[in-house]
Amino acid sequence: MLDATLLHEFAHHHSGDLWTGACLKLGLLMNPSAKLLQPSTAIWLQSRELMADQKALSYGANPLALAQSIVNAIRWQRQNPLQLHQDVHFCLSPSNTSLLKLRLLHLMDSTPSTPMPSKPASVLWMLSLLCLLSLPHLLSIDLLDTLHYGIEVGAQSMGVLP
Amino acid sequence: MNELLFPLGTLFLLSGVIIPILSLLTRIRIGYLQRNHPSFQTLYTNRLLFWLLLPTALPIVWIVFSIVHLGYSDVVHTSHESICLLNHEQFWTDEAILLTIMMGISLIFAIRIYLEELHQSSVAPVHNPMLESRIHHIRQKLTIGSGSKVLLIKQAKFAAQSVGIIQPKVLLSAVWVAQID
Repeated sequence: MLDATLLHEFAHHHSGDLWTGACLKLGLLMNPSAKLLQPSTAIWLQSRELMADQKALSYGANPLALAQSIVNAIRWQRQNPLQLHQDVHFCLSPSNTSLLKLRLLHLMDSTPSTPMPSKPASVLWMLSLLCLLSLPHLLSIDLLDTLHYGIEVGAQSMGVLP
Repeated sequence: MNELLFPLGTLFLLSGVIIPILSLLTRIRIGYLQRNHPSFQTLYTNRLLFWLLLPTALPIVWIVFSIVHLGYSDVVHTSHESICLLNHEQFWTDEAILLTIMMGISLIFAIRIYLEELHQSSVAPVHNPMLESRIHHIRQKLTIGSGSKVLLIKQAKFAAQSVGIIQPKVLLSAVWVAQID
């Protein structure tokens, strides 16, 4: 069971969840309306667990042992609710029963599937970066000037700026 | 003092109007994706992360790139005419202040996240021979990049002390890992 659990966590590490998690935290901290995205954030965090399970299987983890360790961890967490870190608490929370059921179902099914390649997202990332990089060149700096001018005209009309 | 008008106005506009509107649109978009792509494997990974980060990253990155471009064009070409109502020696002073404030805010949040991680790792159990032997066993089977090791060393004191392949939160939870074996 311990090997299966460690392989699950290794899968998290190998997928770069530390970095993506930190980026997401940073993005949400800087977003004053982060509450709007909270349900989707929860889904993303939960889905990472599912992905890690699948990767752990591809690394050779025993699916039944992993499923048993999840059940045991939930039981232990119920007895010691204050001893877990918030993220771990969230991922093993009995309130997320649908995800836990899904995870156990996938493990009991025990057909190790290769995680889907992240090509579509990579394309999205690259395209966005390209657009952002080229926008100031294509439009010169007119957009920034318009923003700057608009704010100052607004402030002037409100009497903030003489 | 007037130089602070544009930076503060922009931050207010970003946090009060632009980012919330983009967040709302993103929520609608994610809802649409969830209805049409119900599979966990195809949707709830990097694509979802992309949409979650987009409302914050898009305006901020655009402003940063534009300011850098503005400063660069001023230094190299000195041909851009100032549209600012204020009288500056260099017309992009306001933008430079905005850039500095934004970098400061990002740094504060990044330090906060880093300290959180550090705090979590500092309360981790320091030595767990059983866990370490298992980790060593796994390391013999699976390789890990050197960059990841560096990341772990930065992320957590415990990760630096121990064998170093697992993220600090996991080592934090070594108590229950020991319990379930």
